[in-house]
Amino acid sequence: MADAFSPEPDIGCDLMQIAAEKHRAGRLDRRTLLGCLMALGGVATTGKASAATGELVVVNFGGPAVAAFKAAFGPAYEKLTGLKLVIDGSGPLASKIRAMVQANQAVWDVCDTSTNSSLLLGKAGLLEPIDFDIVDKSKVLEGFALPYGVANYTYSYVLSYNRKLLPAEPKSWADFWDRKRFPGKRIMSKTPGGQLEAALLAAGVPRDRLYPLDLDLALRKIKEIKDDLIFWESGAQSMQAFRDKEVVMGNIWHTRAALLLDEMKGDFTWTWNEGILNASAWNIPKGNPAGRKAAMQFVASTQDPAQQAALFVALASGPANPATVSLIPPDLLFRDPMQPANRQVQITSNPQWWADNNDRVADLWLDAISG
Amino acid sequence: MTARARLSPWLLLVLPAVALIGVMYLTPLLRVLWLSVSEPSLGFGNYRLLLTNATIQRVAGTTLWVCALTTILTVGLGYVIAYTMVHAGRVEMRLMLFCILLTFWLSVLVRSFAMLLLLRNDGLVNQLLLASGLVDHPIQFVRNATGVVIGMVHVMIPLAVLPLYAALRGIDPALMRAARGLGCGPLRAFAYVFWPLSRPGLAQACVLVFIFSLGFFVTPAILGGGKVVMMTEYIRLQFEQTLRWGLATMLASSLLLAVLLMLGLASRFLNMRRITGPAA
Repeated sequence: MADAFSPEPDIGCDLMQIAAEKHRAGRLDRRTLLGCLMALGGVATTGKASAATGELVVVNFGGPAVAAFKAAFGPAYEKLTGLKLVIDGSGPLASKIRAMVQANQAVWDVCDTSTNSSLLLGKAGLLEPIDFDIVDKSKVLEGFALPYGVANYTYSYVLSYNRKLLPAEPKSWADFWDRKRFPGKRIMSKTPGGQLEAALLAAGVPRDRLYPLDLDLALRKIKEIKDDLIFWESGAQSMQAFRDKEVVMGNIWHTRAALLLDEMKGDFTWTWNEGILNASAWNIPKGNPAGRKAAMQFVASTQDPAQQAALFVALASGPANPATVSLIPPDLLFRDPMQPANRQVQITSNPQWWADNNDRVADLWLDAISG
Repeated sequence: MTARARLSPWLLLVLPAVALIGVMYLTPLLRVLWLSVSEPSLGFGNYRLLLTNATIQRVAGTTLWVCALTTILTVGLGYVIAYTMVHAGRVEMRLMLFCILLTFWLSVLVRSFAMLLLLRNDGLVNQLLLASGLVDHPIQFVRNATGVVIGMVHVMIPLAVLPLYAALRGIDPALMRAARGLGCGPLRAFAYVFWPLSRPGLAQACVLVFIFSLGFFVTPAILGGGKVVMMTEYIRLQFEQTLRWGLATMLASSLLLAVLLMLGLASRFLNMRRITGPAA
């Protein structure tokens, strides 16, 4: 079938296609097209030449994150190194990184991926080890300065709910599992991170003894409420389910929950209690065009609390550097997973456990949620 | 001989295209096959997983039964539609053909989302059912296997109707008249004359629909609510999330092999050229 489907449709890519189509139809002259592509980061993907032109290419999953990364991290880095920072929104899928490094054709300098991908790619020898002489380990959420990936921002899987559709406010994952008191559909992530932890907390496992995760118990708990579960594959899907009132509760990213908070006003909120705090990671493909040092300098430069606070204001992605807490605007304190009041009620994910058990968990999880 | 001499210079013009397809299509395909026997280690270890890994077997099982059910429903409905088209007047037939082709041209993505809007709990269909008092709770049409099958049947209908229509139209209507003239009732005439003559077309449509169903990805992803995992999605998961490319390419190769095998078997018993065209 004509069945191409991207799990995370991305607007940066879409904008580039629109520009290219206009050029073909003769409605856009070549210079304007190149200008557009440059602005959207599309030119950076055309080859290794970028290193020679004095650029550092950072890749993320597109959308508003392209402009937000540029605004938060661009000025300081460009002043420091003289290199131009280009944000490419085409999506650093682990498979793409693997393919380009193995073909000796890395066109990205720094990628914004999950810690899990960083650990997997690192183990396969496809990433530069992080140079902790340049990058400061002490400016990272504890447990997230890994050999091949350093936290760039944090996010949390939080218990979100529609107040209007529930008889009371759910306070914990045990409530999420209580289908008598809180009837209705729930939405969970289609990937197991943050979901197994929630299941175990619902089962009464003490929060300081979660890892190593008891897979049998967690999957049993998932199956227990499976009839009332649907699963989201992209952040946008998780929001749509709440907008359509298809679900009453969800285990979703706090960044998406923050958008719903603005959109649905008083109807929607979430609790930080038993949220599962996690981080995304910078990693550097082996043989990156701008060179190791330039990439490490970028990672170090983004550890600055002011830059992380700017990114938080734009995207609600939590800072990775704990020192940022004092720079958050007062009206946004509730949305920051790193604020002491929010952080102390959450649990922190263990990326190493996830990477070590990745393959096994992927299969067992799939067995549990399907069929 | 002369024809050959006249043709060959023109044939040379086709060569670049053939070479291009060879390079662009066969090279990656060979790489996929190679990866499936070389990663993580040389040998058929990945293929052994087909026999030993319970998850793979379950995903394969889901794929088979969803595709089989889709095929039965699609071809059954398609037969009724094609039969009606053959016996309808000119204008009605054209209208029916137009409607079927129209859905054929729409993107699978759009159609799957449209299905979701129609069939979900507060969708149009459930609203109608609730308002008419036929049910007192919304029926769970989507976010489950039911939704996947409904969506797949909808996408596949044209693929069943078009070859079936061609096959049924080829049946000489005089035969039915002769059967009636010799004392058969309408049902018996259908059962003893029309039905046996239409069976080859029916089998062809089954093969075609089943093979295309195996490659479904978008529809199960959207309408299955994450709970119906078919082979294509499992392959993507291994490719993206676990980076087990050896496993992913093994499954892709196995799927390809299964399709070729099915086509091979079918062509022994059926005239597949009629539906795939002489090039196949």
